[in-house]
Amino acid sequence: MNYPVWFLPQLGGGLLIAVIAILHVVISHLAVGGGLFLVVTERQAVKTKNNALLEYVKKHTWFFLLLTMVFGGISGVGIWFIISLVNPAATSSLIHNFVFGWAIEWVFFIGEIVALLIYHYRFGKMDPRAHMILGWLYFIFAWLSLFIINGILGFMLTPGKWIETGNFWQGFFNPSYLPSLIFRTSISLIFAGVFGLVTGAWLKDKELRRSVFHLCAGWIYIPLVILVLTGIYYTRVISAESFENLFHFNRESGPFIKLIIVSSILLFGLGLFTLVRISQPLQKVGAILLVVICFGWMAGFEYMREIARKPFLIYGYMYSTGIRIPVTGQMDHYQGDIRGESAGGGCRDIQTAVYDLSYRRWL
Amino acid sequence: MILGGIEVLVMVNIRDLARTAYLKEIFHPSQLENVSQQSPLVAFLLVFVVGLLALYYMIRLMFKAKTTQS
Repeated sequence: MNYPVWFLPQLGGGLLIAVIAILHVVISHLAVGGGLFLVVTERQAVKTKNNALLEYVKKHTWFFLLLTMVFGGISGVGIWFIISLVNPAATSSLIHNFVFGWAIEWVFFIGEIVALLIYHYRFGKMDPRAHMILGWLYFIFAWLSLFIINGILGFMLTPGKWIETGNFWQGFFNPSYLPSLIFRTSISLIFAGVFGLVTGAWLKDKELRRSVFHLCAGWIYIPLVILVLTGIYYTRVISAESFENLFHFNRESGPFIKLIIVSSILLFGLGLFTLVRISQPLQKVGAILLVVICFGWMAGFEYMREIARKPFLIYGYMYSTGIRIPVTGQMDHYQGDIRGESAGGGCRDIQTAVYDLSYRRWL
Repeated sequence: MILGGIEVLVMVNIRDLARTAYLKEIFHPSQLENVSQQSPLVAFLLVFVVGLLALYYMIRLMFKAKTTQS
């Protein structure tokens, strides 16, 4: 099916997707790692009979619920809205190929929502063991939702054998599935630590604040090693063309590679402040700054992933313009039109003609 | 508002008729090879049942769990 094009010459549809997606992706990663952070910290508080820490977990749960369920939920719908406007063909392709993948994802979402709502509203009103079971269930559902979405995201960059067979599972468990899953799990744990600092920095009790900051530092730094190793692994599973395109050929990637390097240094360098004694106002500024850096870091990573698959939206299957590669006859029409227009002096060059015709054809 | 809705419906239908006429001699969806795959549906149904059981378990836990914390 062909769709009308939403032509945005000044802004570009990609930028609109990026703005919504980056905001959403940070929060959706937090929704995974933060779930583990909540239940593990609660377990520690119950085990050590630390009521102050337990109170912190309770407050953090409210902050976490608002951020992930409300903002995360709305921005998630926003992504569907914007991708279906900017590139309906690719959106349709993802829906048609993975309809039951999305259905599974929604089962996990419902599990997440129910678990977190009960976890929050029954905090302190259930026996700790039962409450922690809910916490664990929340984390399991959240991680499983990552398990599903990761397959579909990875498919767009490395569809693997799906290109030849059209097999659901070959597209889902594609070559970049595993490195991406471990990489994103590590990110989610790091973000859990960073966002833990936000509520931690506002605690009045100085000692508690210090212990929460130490705790969060562990969440930021321990997954770092896995993140770096899987980052290298990730670059090894993408195609040689994608690798070259990302790191050598496409100059568009330069600023984003710099962004991810600078934000990594800032995130893991500035994060050290959590281990030293500084005043509360500085702790607050530091925590907010780290959150902002997380968004920058995610922007760098997601843009790099997007650039790696250029000029495709689904690698080797569909171009960024929404045109599929194997549509036989279609390119013959284009070539005929290009030849006709070139002969008539109607276009500046072949590239302009392809661009014009591809848009005109779909209008 | 109503006229706008009717206009969109008419536009969609004209577009569909134009496409069908244009592709009549070139392509028909029945030419595509149809390879069905049941396993994703089976996977979904399994997850759906387990999900429902999990929801039941969580809600039951909420009502049954003792109140011991302050």
